[in-house]
Amino acid sequence: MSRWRLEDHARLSLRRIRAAFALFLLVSALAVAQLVDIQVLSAAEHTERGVRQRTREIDLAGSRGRIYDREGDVLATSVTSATIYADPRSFVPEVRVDGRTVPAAGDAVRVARTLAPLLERDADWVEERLLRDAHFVYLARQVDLRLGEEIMALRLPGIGMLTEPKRVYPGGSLAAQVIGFTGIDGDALQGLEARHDDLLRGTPGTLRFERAIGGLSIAPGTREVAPPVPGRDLVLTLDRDIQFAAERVASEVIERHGAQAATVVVLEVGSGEILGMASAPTFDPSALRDEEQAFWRNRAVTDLFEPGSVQKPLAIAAALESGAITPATTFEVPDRYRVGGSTFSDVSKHGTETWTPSEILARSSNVGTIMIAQRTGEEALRDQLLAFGLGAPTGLRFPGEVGGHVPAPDQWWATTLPTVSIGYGTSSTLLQMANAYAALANGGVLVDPVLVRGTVGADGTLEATAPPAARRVVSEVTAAQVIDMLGQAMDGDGATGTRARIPGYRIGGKTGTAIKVSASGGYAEGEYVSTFVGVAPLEDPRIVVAVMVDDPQGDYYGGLVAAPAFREVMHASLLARRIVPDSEGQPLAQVVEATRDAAAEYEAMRAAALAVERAAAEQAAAERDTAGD
Amino acid sequence: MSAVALQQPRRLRAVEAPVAADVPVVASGRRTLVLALATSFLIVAAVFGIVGLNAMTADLAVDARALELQVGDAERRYAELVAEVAAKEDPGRIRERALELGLVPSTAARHLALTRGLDADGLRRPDGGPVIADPLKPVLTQER
Repeated sequence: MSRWRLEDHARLSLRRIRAAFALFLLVSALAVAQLVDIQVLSAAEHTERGVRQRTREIDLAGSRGRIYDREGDVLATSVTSATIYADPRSFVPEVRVDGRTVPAAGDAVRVARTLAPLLERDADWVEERLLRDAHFVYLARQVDLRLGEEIMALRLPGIGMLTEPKRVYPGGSLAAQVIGFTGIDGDALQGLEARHDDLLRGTPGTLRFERAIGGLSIAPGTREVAPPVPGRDLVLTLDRDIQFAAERVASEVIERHGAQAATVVVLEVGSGEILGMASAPTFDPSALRDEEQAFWRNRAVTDLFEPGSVQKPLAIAAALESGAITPATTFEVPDRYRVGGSTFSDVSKHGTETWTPSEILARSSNVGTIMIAQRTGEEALRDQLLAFGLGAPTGLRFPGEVGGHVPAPDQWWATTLPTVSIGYGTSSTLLQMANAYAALANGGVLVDPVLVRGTVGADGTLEATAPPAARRVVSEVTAAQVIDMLGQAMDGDGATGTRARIPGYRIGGKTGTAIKVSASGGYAEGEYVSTFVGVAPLEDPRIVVAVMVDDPQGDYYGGLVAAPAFREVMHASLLARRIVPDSEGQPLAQVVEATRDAAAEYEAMRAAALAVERAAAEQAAAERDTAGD
Repeated sequence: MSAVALQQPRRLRAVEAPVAADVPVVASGRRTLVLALATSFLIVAAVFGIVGLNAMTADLAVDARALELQVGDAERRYAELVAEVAAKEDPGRIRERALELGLVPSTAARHLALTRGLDADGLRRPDGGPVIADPLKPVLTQER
């Protein structure tokens, strides 16, 4: 190759290289521009698109907190359940866009027959669902997870399973009206479940992971978990054993007396803690469809009644507190008394008797109570009833709680004072009445009732709720005097509360029998509300039990219907709270010593008996020998 | 021509035929080969390393998923057992069973006054002291 040709070739190559370089630069510039667009200008959009394409986000349900009784026994909890669904498209042939027909993946009849016994359904019912014109139908919701796994193991076409939390109430109907329930989708609907839903409901979390085409998870891919925050557990003041006793007795009293309903409240004196709150008839929250909605009510806070004679101790407390009477004041009490144009009478006929307030209370004398109230005066009586918490909700803030009624000052007529003093013309809930007695038992200090002791978080520590509001409503002296009178109402001739007595304990209480208010206004002839409210032990009151029986048939007096029910509930409560009878509760050392003494005595007696037996045997043998000789 | 000279920018020009004695062809080729081999080895090792690490990561991720599932299963089972125990402890069920067995409520219960009281169940002491755990109810303590 000559020198000219070499230079010419080099020049040509240089030009080509420059052109190629320019082209390269141009392409590079375009690429860079595109990169700038992707990476900078539209970075957010592309990032989101990319993330959307390859990541999947799943909501992680925050588990709902449990509900415990005061000692940590579970009243409500959540478990994982299976929900079985079907895709009905799997049971019909599919006609594609190109006109081809793809046969159905499964045979609805065969699948229905297989599933029906497992789901405890009729095969026709299942088949009808499988053949619906839909993409998704539920076949069973919130069934046992093992059943779901069993069904999935059958690998039936078009059948799938989801897992979802299910609220369970291990005690069935135990405290059902208090705890309430959640719906199938976890929404709180009733009772404390609804009242404290904000605490119980957990915060959902998310799981974000990368997935490949087809939806499979990329194992080493990015995996971000925002863990769900479980709801706080609720620790109630209810004692499961006391609650059970209250419910059992309420159900039995309905059955025994053919009553419409029965309600029981058990309160701890001083703390305001509700140990039991039962309403019968009750319901099982696990089988809501079969239950009457009327049974869902927590009657102790939602139902008002005219308390009748159980309000008399409050009227006497008002008289004592106002200084109108003393425990020693006596009244000449006839069995009929005319006030404001109306005649009021005692239940039992009697001559004009000289009675102290204590005797008036023990005999539940209407006339005597009216006489006491007349000394008290309208304003003092009304103010005292309001101070006891009547006429306003208790502060429990239970869903559906009502406040009751105490007549306003301008509604007091000539007969209002006598009527109110004997428990008519006012209305209250059983909880209000129980709490008023608890105030008397607590030395005159009214404490708002509480149902929640505290909440438990993830660290397992019980955070106690704020102490309930407390206020003095009568002096300590007045309270002690009324409690003493309640004790006397249980004993002696004419006392109405004798059937409430519990061997070994001193009880104080009051019976009540009130004619029911009819729905149309006025009083319903022959329909009664029987009540008993009492405290124990009388020396150091710890527990208040209130029983209300709605419309018992046959016997209807509080002393016959409600007092025996009170006795059973109070006895169970005293045992559950480890309150020993007045005559018992010996120290363990003394009992051990006494047992040891008894054992030694037994051994000594046994040895003596053996010796006597041996001597007798020897004597008999000697006599035989003598006779033989 | 040395290797350094080759790396310097240069203009195209007519080249004279190289003098055989000035070009260490054999030595340069061997070094390049060694470099190429070493580079290839490194690349292959790196690729194998990355693939190996990736495989290990995938393996561990699968294990982690399996463990997560186990934990989930265990938690689920625990929740079921809690509900089951609570149902078995239900006073109504116990009473029913007791009646089936012919048991009757005691009418002559006796009571002992214990000198040592049981601590409250998990409540914080009023003086702000440590949380009291009820030995009978670990469910309200951290042991739950």
